[in-house]
Amino acid sequence: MKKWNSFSVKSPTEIEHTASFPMEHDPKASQADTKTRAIFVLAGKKPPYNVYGNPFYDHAGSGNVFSVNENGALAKNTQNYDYCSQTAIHGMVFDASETYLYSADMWANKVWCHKKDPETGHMTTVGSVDAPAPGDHPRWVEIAPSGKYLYALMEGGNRLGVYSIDPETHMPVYTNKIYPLVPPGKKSLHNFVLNHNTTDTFYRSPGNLPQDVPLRCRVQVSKRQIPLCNIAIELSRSDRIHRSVQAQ
Amino acid sequence: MATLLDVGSSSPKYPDLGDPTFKVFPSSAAAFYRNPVSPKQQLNLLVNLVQNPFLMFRKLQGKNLSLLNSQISISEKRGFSTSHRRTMLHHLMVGTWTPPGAIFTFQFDDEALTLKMIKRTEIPKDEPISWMTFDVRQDKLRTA
Repeated sequence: MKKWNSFSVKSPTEIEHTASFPMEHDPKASQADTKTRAIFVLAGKKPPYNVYGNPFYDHAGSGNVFSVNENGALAKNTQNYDYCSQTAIHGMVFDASETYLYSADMWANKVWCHKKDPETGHMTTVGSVDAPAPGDHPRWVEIAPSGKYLYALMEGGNRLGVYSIDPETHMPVYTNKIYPLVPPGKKSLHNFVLNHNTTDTFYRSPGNLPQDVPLRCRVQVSKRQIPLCNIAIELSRSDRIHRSVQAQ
Repeated sequence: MATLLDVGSSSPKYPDLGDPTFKVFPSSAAAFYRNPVSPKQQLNLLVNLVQNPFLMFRKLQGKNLSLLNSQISISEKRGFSTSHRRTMLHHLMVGTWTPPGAIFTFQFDDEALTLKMIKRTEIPKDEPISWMTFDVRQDKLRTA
């Protein structure tokens, strides 16, 4: 909730808590009476195997970077890198080389690019781009295996934006291609699924998405308690799904 | 496929890891692709049966790995490969969004198509999980 944790998994039934660290980028973030919540965590797959965490809601303008010790447990908060004061990042993805990090910023309505230092694993801001429309609210990002395109799922806009990656700056550049996730005339994904009275998972390709874009979105809705809309971007390589990300 | 297997066979290690007996695991992507359960089936399983997005698949065991188009020697398979069954058991860790914090382990048998909850692990009660992911060696969880 307000902590970053690590666990050792000796077997599927032997899970041992190894470390907890608070969010220290802002004194208000870790206070019990603030809304700030540790929301997303991305583990580096290359040395120095840092762990990158995103605070969310309020007081969430920094990413928290942790080193790991020789046992793989979180060791120390080594950097809090900058976004902006309005930021609430909900998802991040590295490029294939794990050099550039892309972040979906719902509340500042941006997509960010940071560069990772190969030695320290620390982040330097490259830049950010505004979402195509004020209410788009990027929630998830996914990158093509080629590294040439970035896809941003707009939770508010109910659509999928396509960005090309500038080969020199590595910044995302909006291509003016954006694909709706709801049929024409429907206001939102929530309304669409509720009106269709569905409680199942179904797959929906974004409207008018070209066949050569290997993306589809999965939508799951449960009406048992509160409407739950679970949206995922799935990026496939031939018949295999390369990666999936999910949103609740 | 080759790229993913390369990832798996690159023996990722932490700096200064001195224990020579420690098993090195392939990456999650490699495990995912070697899995005979189609990705679509896996994702349906996760979403429909568990109803929780904060989850991870782990392959537990499976002799039939050697039948697949794998370039990784059997000695580099998961440290949990203790059985000679042809069936694969897949393990899924699920966190709780609200207190009390807990991690549930689910086991999916891809022949019997059964899903069982086999463990509830207590974690700090006031530290429920927003998101969890495995490290590169797949034997450490990182959670928010």
